[in-house]
This record gives sequence, C-alpha cells and structure tokens, in this order.
Amino acid sequence: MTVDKGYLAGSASLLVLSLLEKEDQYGYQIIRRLEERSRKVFSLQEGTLYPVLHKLENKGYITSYEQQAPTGRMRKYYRITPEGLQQLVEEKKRFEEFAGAVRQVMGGGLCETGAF
Amino acid sequence: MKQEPFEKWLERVLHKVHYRPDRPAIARELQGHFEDGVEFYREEGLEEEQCREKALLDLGEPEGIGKLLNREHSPVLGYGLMAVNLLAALLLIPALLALGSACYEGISQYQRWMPQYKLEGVPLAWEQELGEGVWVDSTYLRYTKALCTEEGELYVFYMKCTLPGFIEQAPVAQVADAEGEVYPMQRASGQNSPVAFGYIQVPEYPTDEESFQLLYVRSHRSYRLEVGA
Repeated sequence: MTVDKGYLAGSASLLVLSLLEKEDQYGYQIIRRLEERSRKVFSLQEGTLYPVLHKLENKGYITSYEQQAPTGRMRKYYRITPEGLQQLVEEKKRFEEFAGAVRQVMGGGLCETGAF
Repeated sequence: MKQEPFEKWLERVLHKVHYRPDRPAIARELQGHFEDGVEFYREEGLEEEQCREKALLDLGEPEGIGKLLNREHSPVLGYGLMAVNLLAALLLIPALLALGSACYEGISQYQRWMPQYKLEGVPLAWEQELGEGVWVDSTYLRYTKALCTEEGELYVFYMKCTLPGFIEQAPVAQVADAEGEVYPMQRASGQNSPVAFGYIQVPEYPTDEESFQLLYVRSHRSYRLEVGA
C-alpha cells in the first residue's frame, strides 16, 4: 500500500522521534526500522530522511555523535534529547487529536449510515 | 576520469546546498548511507553492480533532497556565525595580550617585595617568620618576615592595607634595638594603593641582635611593635 507523500511529510518528525525514543540510531538504521515497523507502508526516498534529521538537530530535539562502524568507517548516530522527548509527547497528542477527528468524520459518513 | 553514479548524484545534491562549509559533513553522511545500502543488498545476495544501482535508486531524487537540506543549512546563519566568531577572536587577542602583560607586570612587582625573591642566594645570619600586625591611623601593617644578612643588613617585610578613601603614604617606622637605640633605615614599598607590599631596610644592624622594635610617631601618638627572637 502506498501512502500519500503529504501524510508522510507531515508525520516525519513524529516517526523519527518515536524511533529514537527507544534507542540511538544511525540514518540507514532509521530507514530500515521505519519500513519494518510500518510493514512497508512507510517507504520514503531515503535521502529525504537527512533534512528531517538535521532540522530536528537544529531545533535541539536530537543530538548526534560519531562512532566507528564494524567496517572501520565513522558512522553518525542520533540520540533524542530531553527537549525531544517533550516534543514527542506534544506531537503524539496532536496526532491522536487529528486521528480521532478523522475517525469521527469517517464514522458519520454516507457509506456507513446508508442514508442514500 | 569517469565519475561514479553515486558521486554524480552527490554532486547534484551538494550543488543545492549553498553553505559550502557544511557540504563535507553532508557528503560523508550520505556516502555512509549509500555504503550501508550497498551492504544491505549484498547480504540479500545481489550482484555488486545491482547492489549499487538499487542503493542509489533508494536514495531518491538529488535536487529535491539538496533543496530540503539547504533549508537546514542556512548560509545567512552559517556565514553570520563565522563572522561573529572571527570578530570575537580578533577582539579577544589584544585583550588576552593586555591581560598577560598586566599579570606579568603584577608578578614582577610582587617579586620585588617578597623576601624569597628579594634576597635569593644571599647568606643570612638569621630569619624570623612574623605574624605581627598593627593599626596606625587608617593603615593596617602586617609584618610577615624579618631577615638579617651576614653583612648586617636587616630587612623587615610587610603588607600594608589602607582603608578606602585614605590612600596615603604608609606611616614611617623607626627601627630600634631592644635597648631603644634607633638605627638609620630606609623604606621601600610598592605603589601607593590600598594594598601594597614593602620592606624596611636597616643597612647596619648587629647580626647577633635578633630583637628589634618598630616605632611609629604619627598624629602625636606613638606605636611600638616589639619583635623578639
């Protein structure tokens, strides 16, 4: 199932912060986890992850550090900050409100009631 | 030399990032992602060329990614911050030089009035640690050390502290032995400031006489400090 890019773009921060809440991760790892946990519903152009990560870092919601990968090269890991955790709570709240409102509207729809 | 497809892709991304100082870090991160992708497909059992093609395809459209990255790496902010740092460094250097010079001057001054520096290497007949203090009008004099060289020069080191608003010459003491005989002396001290260091020097003092008195006559009052062996 392909998801409209608009939905994904609006939820990118929420998705990334949710993944980093569990553990520190590097870019490719985030992409793969996103695919696995969404059962491939969320499958984005991988390069577009980095503007999201850099935006979150500029805002102080995540921080980065380098660590040596098994191959020997340096890999950049990201970690959620306390401010990021707070932001995640806010975004989850907003998402729940949005999803709830959508469900309400869909619940009172024509297909459901058979009014026509 | 023929450019690799990934290198061409990366060039197209970086071309859209206007703040050049951030380009190397972005390039390293995207290169790392590409290599992770190639490794992923290698483990899936694909041929090397296929791994590279799929990993590159997964990255997405370069110009769009570059434009999005450019939003997060603002040249205005970046170059502005560089200019502020440069200005701060330029202002700091003369400030540090001035501070260093003042510290050096302060240390040099300090060393002139401290016994261990003043009489370094000079053979002594005797020396005493003093902890005596005396108030003379608005000045507190704390005597720290007395020394007598083998040549008969007596030095009495002190620190002077004058109350604010009363910056004036330290009261002049006369040096006398235990019997009250006064000896010619000289006084030397640092700058005329609320806190200063100095010493009294008696050119010819009996080397076997370890006691002395400091006599002050000021404002029609007498002060006497006796220092015994």
